[in-house]
Amino acid sequence: MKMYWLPLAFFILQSCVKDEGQLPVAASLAPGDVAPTDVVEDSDAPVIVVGTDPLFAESWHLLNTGQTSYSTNPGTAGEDVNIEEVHALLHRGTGVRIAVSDTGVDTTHPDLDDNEIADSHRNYIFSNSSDWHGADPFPSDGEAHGTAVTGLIAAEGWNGVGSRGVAPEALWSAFRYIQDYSPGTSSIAMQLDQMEGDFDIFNYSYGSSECGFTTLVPSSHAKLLEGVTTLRSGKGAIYVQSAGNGFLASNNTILGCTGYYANTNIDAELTSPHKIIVGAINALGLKASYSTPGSGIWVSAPGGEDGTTDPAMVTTDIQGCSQGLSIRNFLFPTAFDFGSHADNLLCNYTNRMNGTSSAAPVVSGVIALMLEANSDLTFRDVKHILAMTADPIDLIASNTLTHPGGGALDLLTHTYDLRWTTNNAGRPFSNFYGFGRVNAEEAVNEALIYSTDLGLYARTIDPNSDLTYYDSGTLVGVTIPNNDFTGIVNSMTSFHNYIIEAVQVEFTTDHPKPRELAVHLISPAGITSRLLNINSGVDGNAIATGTLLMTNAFYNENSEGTWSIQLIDGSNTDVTAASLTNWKLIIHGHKEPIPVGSESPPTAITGLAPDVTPSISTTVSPLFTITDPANASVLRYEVSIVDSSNNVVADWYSIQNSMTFTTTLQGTNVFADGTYTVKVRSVDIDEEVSTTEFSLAWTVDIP
Amino acid sequence: MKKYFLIVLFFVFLIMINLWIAKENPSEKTAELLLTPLMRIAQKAPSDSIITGRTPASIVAAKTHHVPHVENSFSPDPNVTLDRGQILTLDLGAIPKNLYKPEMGELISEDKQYKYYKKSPTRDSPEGVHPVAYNPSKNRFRPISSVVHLKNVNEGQRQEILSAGFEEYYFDQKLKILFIQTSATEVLDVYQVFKDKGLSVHLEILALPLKAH
Repeated sequence: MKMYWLPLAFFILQSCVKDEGQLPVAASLAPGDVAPTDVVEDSDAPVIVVGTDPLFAESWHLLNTGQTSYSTNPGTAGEDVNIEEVHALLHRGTGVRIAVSDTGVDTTHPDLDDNEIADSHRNYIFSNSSDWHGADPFPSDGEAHGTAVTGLIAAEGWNGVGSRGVAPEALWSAFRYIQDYSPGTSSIAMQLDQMEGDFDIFNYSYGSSECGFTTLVPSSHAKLLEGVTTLRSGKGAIYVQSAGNGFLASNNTILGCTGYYANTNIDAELTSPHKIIVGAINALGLKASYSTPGSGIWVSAPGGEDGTTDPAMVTTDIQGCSQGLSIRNFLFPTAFDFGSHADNLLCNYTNRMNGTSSAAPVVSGVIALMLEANSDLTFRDVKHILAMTADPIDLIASNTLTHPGGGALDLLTHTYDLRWTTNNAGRPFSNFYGFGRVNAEEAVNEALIYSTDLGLYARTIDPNSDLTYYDSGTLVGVTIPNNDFTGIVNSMTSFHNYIIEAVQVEFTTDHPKPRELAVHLISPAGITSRLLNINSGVDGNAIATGTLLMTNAFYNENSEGTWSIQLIDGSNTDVTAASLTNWKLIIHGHKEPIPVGSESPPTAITGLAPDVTPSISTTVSPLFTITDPANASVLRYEVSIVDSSNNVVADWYSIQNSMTFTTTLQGTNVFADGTYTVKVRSVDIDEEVSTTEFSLAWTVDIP
Repeated sequence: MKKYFLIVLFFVFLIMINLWIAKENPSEKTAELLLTPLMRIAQKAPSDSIITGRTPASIVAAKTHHVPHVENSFSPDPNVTLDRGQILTLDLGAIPKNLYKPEMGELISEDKQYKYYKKSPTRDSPEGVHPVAYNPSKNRFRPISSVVHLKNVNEGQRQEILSAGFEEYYFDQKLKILFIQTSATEVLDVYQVFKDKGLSVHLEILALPLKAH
């Protein structure tokens, strides 16, 4: 009998929400608002206060007062990005240029049009690339996403209408990019093009639609590196991307991906340290129910929930009641839909925007505020400030989340996520939140006084071949036991002593179902980062071959020492043993600054004896014996080889700190007959390089 | 009055039932899924986006429907190396779904946009039939783009290639990657031409559409 009253209760509840949403617009004046300059009243129209933003009062991400944002349940007061003082001090992102690469934007929207960068838009719908730039990016009916994203970043502030962006005076450009591709086009060319241009920030609220590991596009990662080192006059553009919406709290299926608990590391585009990956938080200050976790997340920001029961994000929508988000849910309308609410009579706004798609533009907006405050910040400076000023949240549940897999993937006593871990540099990190929720006021204040010198960016990759120095080679017999809490551990030693900014691992296994695997990386300091969770959503048949994973958990630790990879198989049903067959380690970071006057580079090498052994008829594997009386202080040796025309054959290829080495130089091991000059220098624990290079002429005579 | 109340109650009850179904089975294409695809509606609807562009908007997830034992249904081309162990098939074709006819050949697989079929050796392929890449680890097919990539191309080489009559699709000056527009029927031949010249040439496997988060 009680069941019959449930529908009625639902009906009444909906009515109440509608009533609650009809707040007088004048009540939306909030801290940071300038005084109203004019009030227009009409008996048939809502009160309009020119000089404020009527929907600000429901924008919990900007100022969380515990409002409902036109949903049923309220949020928790204070759980926002702490921005009102920043706006009040007139930091509003003025002039910062942001490319919103998305579904296109309603360029005529009255809450967006004044911040538009005219003639800068792109539309990748055209098959001819010469038509992309300058094209009208106006979306079709089903493409409201980009308009909502743009409003979260840069909806005009204090203009008397609608909502307010995080950076209400930042400038935006729309790239209509998300689409189906035709085989007559190149999705990679489009991808590269939308990473290029005269912009400070690129916002990417999209991701892969695949279930399993995506294929790495090397040119995409190369383009990112190029963008963060050359755009903005060498200070680097800032690429911000959403983490994904794949997390489920229980064993289920979504988008055809079975058991999809998700992980950022499944999408190769989220494994670059040159992007800022953003997770989503709801109005209660907790991880949003859908937000994809992963060690690649840098920070988190408000993204909201469904907008019906719990608050989503209030933002701009394609104008009119015949298109856009405000009309898209007929069965389960919110009180804000259909133009039925006094605050949204023209359907120019929505209260149901959500997802990490919403979290990324909030962070883009905060970065715009930072860049306005200090335009000298580099890409790495921005990342550093965000990490240092983010607020760790949801600390109570630390390390208590058990594995939600169930059935064959329910490894007893195995926690699904490590939650908050403080690394050896004192940085708290979480796979749910990265370094925490972005804090606009703290970030802008830090930007204003910023003086940290991060030094030159470095990574453990041979500049000649693009191959990492740390490669396990082909492993034999490294078997992963089934349903075993300890799994297998394999180690290698880093002879680079960088201050870590990010670490990538590339791994290959013959395991037929890598979704059963957890992959951990353990730093020399003994800190563990979970790179993949058991049941991470990888397709059952998708094997991991050279799969790239990234973690930010070791930020600011030192990289020198022993690194270990640990693989745990959470399944008790496999009958075939599987193995780890290869893994590689790539460390991104910088050298510890050496105070002026205290430099003490290692002494120069005093002897170098080549013993060149031809391997096959056209190549040689160089074998050198180094004479180095000061070897004890050396962390590693680096070798450069040039031919008689001074062409570089190997450019400071790094080797371990052995007195002799026989490694074939990667990527450049085919030599012609001739005389080469070999140079060797030594590097110490402080990454100081010997001031004198030892050179030796070396004649090669291939049989 | 009681009658009206019962009618209202009935319709509201229907809505509740729909809510319950959507929560219990998110993969089911309920009307809500059709209408709210752009964002993640927590626990109610998948976040699959409406990806629009050249083709009409559709909410159907990019899910591949496989035919059993597909591995034995085609021949791989051992001379062409694709990214990450993917295989170029010799005797399969990809065609937009609405253009496929059974007489073209046996249907091997299909996805949101394309049908993949075994080309008949006795029939010429119609225009617009693209070569097909096979991903063994995912047991999935995708069309080969008719745009080929040439890496490490400097400006001089670029001009030389274009003056030879090849059509530029796009050039990334900083990465020095030249994208050459060919056609579905010519792409493998053009690939071979550049390969024979010793250039670093790559075929592009068309990516699945991106998903708004």
